[in-house]
Amino acid sequence: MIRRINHTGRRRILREHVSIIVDDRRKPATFTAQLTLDGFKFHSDARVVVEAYRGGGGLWTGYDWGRVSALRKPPTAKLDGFDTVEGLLFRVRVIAVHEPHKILGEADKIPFVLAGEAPTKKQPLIKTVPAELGDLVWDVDFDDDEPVLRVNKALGNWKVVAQDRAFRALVYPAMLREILVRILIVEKWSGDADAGDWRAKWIKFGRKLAPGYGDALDDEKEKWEFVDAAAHAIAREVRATEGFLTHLNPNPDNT
Amino acid sequence: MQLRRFNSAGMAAFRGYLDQLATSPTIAPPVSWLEEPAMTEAVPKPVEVAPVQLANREEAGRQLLAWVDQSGIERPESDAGLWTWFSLLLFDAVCPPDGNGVRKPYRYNRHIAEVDNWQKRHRHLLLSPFLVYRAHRDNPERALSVLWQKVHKPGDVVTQITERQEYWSNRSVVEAATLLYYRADKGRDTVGSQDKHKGGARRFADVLNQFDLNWYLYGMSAAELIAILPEKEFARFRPST
Repeated sequence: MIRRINHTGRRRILREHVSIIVDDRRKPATFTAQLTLDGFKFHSDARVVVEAYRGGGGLWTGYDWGRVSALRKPPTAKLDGFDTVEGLLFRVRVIAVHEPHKILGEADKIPFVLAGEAPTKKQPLIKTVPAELGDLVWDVDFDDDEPVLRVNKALGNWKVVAQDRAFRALVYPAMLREILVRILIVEKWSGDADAGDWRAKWIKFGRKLAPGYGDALDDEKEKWEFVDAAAHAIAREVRATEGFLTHLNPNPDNT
Repeated sequence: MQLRRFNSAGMAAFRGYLDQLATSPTIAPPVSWLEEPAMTEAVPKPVEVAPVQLANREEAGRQLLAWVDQSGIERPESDAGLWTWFSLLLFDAVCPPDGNGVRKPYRYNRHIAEVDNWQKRHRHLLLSPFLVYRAHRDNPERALSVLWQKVHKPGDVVTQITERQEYWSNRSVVEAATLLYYRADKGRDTVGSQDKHKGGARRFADVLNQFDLNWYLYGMSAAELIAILPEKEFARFRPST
């Protein structure tokens, strides 16, 4: 079993103790952060900071959220620095007063729920975001903490494009192949990470699609076979050929 | 000339010009495109601009901020057409010709801003000094470690500090970088600041990433930050007290 040791002494604030609701119906969008910090025994004077970020900190804003004993009221702030809320994540930090600047507790990579939508524990395996891609229709960006599927914003309604059956038929197998090759062949990832690591999630997903492979994928040939099998399996899953044929010939009776 | 921004046709044409430079490196910048109605569009408020000389990133940041502030553009950092237009307007600063008139543009994203890629958008040679200057407009001297450089040669200190907004917008981090890596008496960087090891900017960024796990960097002063850097490794860069 793979374990990660916390050397920092920080307390891990769990996601169930943090609720982030984003309201993007007006510009700029706002967010509400409800925190439950009672059970952690933080000093009542400790400062609380909520941070919104995207792209591994490439875009970031921090918000003073008061003290453990007197959290910000109302618990709402403007997301001034962000054009869209796509791909935003949040972080909560509790900071010591008596040991200046020391982080006592943290919750990171917290996804948000859009105002008016029901919260769900299910998170998509990959985020899809619009991007300026020149003449590329899509690509996978590995610059963030985890891979992101980028769709060319010049295509118009990129959300509709990303859901289009023909798009999924062509993109999903290629995307899965690219990500698995990155993990297994380029990075030669050993599997030494906790289950929350993005690579662990993708390998788990690949194994679900292609279950006939052993725990260790040490052999290069076996890795390539696994990648191929997973790509074929996802193509089957999304019925890629049929979907693409429908796109090529939407009215088969007319042929 | 009035400030404008490229539309998608202008962006595509400018990319084509950068491609052309690979085979015809002395071809002149197509400055007539700056006012071509089919390639550009107006910004909300009229602003008079000109292809000025820019000695360094600080001058670039100051000049661009002055123009953009008057333009009424709400979110300039997200306006790829604006920054690409600026690249053509100021092409001699971002892609100067050598003695033989040869221009080497290198990567597209030095001239065509990847505004949606939050880590790479700082590679744009004009958007980067604009963002840094704007964040430190109350005291740009604090940010000289990332503003003294020539516009077309940002270097490693800029790369390391500007990749994360948490760092380039953090007054203490930027001031600490300036105290460590900028020689005010010489108007340039400290010897060794580009070093990948031994206390150079890359190591500074690595150490910040480690500190960020334990310390709330935004709450620290530059002096507090410098005080907790590994003693030996950063000794040669520490400001004398």
